[in-house]
Amino acid sequence: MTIGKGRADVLQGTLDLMVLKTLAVLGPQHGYGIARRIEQISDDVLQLNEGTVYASLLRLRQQRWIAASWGRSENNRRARFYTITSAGRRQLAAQTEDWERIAGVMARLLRLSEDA
Amino acid sequence: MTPWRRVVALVSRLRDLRDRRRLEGEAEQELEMHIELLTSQYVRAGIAPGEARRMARVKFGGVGQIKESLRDQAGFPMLESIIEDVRYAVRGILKNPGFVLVVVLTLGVGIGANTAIFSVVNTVLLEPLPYPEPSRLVVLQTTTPQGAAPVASPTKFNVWREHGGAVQDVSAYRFNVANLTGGEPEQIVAGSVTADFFRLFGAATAAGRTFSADEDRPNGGRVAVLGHGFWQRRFGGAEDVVGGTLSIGGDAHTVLGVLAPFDTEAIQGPEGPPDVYLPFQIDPNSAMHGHFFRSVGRLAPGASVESASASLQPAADTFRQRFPGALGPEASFSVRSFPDLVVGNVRSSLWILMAAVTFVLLIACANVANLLLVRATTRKRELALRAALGAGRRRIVRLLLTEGLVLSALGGALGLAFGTLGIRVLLAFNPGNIPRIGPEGAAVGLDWRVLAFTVVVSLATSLVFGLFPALRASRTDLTETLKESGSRTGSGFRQQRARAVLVVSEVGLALVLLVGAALFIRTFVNLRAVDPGFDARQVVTMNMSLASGRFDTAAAVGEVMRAGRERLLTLPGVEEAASACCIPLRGGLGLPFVIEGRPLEGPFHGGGSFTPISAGYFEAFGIPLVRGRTLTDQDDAGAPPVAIINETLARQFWPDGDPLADRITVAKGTPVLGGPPRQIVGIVGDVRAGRLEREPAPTMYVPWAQIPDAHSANLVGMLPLSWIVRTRGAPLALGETVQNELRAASGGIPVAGLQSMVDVVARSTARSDFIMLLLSVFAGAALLLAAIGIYGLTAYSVGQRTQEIGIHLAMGADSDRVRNLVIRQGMAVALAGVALGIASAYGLSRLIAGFLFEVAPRDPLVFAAVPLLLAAVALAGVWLPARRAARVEPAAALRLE
Repeated sequence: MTIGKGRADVLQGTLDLMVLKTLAVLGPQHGYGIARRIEQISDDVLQLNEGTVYASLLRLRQQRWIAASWGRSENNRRARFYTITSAGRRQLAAQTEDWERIAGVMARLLRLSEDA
Repeated sequence: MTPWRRVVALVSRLRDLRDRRRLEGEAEQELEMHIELLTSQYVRAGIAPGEARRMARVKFGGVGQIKESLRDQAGFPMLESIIEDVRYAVRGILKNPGFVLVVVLTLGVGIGANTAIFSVVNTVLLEPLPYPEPSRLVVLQTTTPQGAAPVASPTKFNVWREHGGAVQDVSAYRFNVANLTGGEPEQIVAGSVTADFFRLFGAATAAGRTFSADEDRPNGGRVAVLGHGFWQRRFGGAEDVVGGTLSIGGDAHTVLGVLAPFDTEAIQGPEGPPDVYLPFQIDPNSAMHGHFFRSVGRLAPGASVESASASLQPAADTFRQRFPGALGPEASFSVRSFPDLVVGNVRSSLWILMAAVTFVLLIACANVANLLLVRATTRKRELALRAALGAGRRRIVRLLLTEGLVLSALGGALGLAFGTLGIRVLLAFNPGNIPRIGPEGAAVGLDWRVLAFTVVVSLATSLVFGLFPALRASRTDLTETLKESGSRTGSGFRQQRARAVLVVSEVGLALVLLVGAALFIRTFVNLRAVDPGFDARQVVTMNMSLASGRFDTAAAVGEVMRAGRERLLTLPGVEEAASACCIPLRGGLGLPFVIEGRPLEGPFHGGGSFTPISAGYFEAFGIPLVRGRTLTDQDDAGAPPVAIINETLARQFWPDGDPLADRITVAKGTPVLGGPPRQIVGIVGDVRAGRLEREPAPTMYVPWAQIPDAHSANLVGMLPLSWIVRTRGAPLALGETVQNELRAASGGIPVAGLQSMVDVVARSTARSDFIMLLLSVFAGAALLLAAIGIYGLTAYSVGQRTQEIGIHLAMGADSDRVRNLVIRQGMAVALAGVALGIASAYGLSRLIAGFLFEVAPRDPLVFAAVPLLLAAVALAGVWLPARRAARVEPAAALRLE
């Protein structure tokens, strides 16, 4: 993640990361399932329009970080399921590392100013 | 996104493009399913299905928006909507074949005419000459207050070669016919060129070499270089021809080499490409002032035409020192661009034609714009709906422009076909003497420039006619339009005015073009009416080259002329026969003269065209005798020297007094050319020796047998002897017989170049004829298109106002009055256009004044007749709809919804 990206990009990038993580943890999911999971984890803090998940899924698919295939959903309807690819896992690992590094720096920074 | 990620995304987009439809369908399904799941979630929570669905949608976010963002993400939205526009345009076209046919044909004609003329412009003006750095080639000339003469004399050439200033590689060339002797004699074309010529024009050798500077000196030996075509034809391309000999004019010439294929189209004369090249062998100490060849050179690096001309000042000074009196005080040396000379004054004619076809194209665009405006109104509802459904104004404009583009692409393709084929066919029939177009226009054709031009014109055209309707349509007021019923879409005052403006402009343009064409037609008619001074009917001409040792005296030449004439006169089909150095319309030799016994201020009294002839010349050409007598066979070498002058010479130099009492001496005191005093024995009628529109030059005719030997030898080396035969029956039928008789009379010299004099005359006016023909065709097309435009406007307006007319008629209006009303309104538009046209033509006609002959640019006859013609045509165009208006059935019209 580079500094200086536009706000929309940051939000997009964040959502993409969440979707990747969800798929890494839950295994193959369809769009609805991913949206539910994100809602659950974020405790309704994130007020997203659910449809944006699909834009995110398309982006991830174009970058070949996830793959799509058709299957049957819980209510026996034809649904598209997404799976994370190995490239996706590598990307996830890299981005997780970035986040944690920044979080660490921020934490130290904030603690510093508190101490001072 | 990093650059790499962008690339990966791009590749995915490309893949998606292929599966467009399927992907959209799948996305649709996916989103729908998500909403269903949400809905069932709310239903399970106890909410009513309808409400549940609504809440699901809200939670999901705007479905349309998501779809849009997905669409933007995948494929290429811009490209795809353009493709969609194109598909839509094509569908629209297939549904309206009649409309499309009219539009495409109209455009095809307009664009085609432009393509045709541009093809010619491209070949003649834009295509560079096939020589190294052709734009740096210049021709050396002498400039006087009267003009510039791009011809050279040996004396001038020598000075130019020594003191060329900023002009390098000064060369000379001259093409002439000669006889290939040894075996069956055959007439060939020989080029006399200096040693530098081949390098200057980039002529490479295929075998052997070209002449050295030593071989180009007066006694440098008899050598020759063969032209490539001649080498193939005559010797089958045999290598061993180098080093052998060729007999030309009775003399053996050693063949030094053979040229590789060399394009001489720009420099050759009417005889055609040279078969052999002979060294010019100009004497560096020559005192000869006759101008009979061309001198060409190359600009030194960094020099321009102006700077090179200025750098010739020292050369002029040297020339004056060496030959006092030979260069007038107001004369100087200069250079002119060689490609410019080759093209000559065709350039301005071609630009006139380009202007004319541009007019035609604009008129065609106006018509098409009108048609599209009409169509736009019938589609008004559809466009309003589109706007309501979210198509932005830009999208609608883009839609209409795409349609325009498709139409103009079709029109352009058709125009390209019309244009290239049409001009080839036209030139094959009448090349009009235009330089560089090749035999029968073969060199004019399709190349990348013409293609690019057509594409650009098509695009510009579609912009011109497509923008109008597009802008109009994009301003539609939605609610108004949707409220309106059926076909009475109320095109509105503004739209009708826009169409009227278009028609006014096209009528104006058509009028300007018609005026131009009419002026040219009058010029053409006037030129035709010019009395050339001789009767070309029943006359044939041919030539024979006497360049050989046998004919180095005037008496020898005179003998051939006499013997040939005698033999020909015995033939039953021959009425008169003669020979001369030159025939009318093919130029003469300019020489100065002195009138004996008259006081002299300068070196000479005046100059005129000097024409050595045989007896029977005036009778053969039907040139009238005004006073005195013509030449007879008795005027030979032994008889007293005589001369016959033409009326112009008599009038100019004997305003009062009798020429027949005086003697003139031609080129008095000049070496080689100077002759004895001659008694003037007759005055004959004037003949146009050059172009028909020029005043006849003062001319002196003398018996060839009586000119100095040196002069005669010079002449036979320079020009072939021209034979003239007046026949009783069909002129060309006797060709074979005449040739045989002449060959016998001359001891075996071949005769060639048989032509009827009528053809010679025709060729001299061929170019202006051709331009006039084209202009008339374009003006006619403009007239037709303008008429269609007026008809269309009036017919449409009548159609729109059918209800209104029905009301008028129902209320008791006279049907004649209705008709007259329509006519008045239609004619008002037409006449406005005519007025606009007259004003423009009045201002613009001055531009073509240089092309006109005996007709003023603001000729009252033309300016009266053309507007009347256009008004009459407009009336015809208005009449039909007017009659239809008068015949409207009130009841039916009122019922029309």
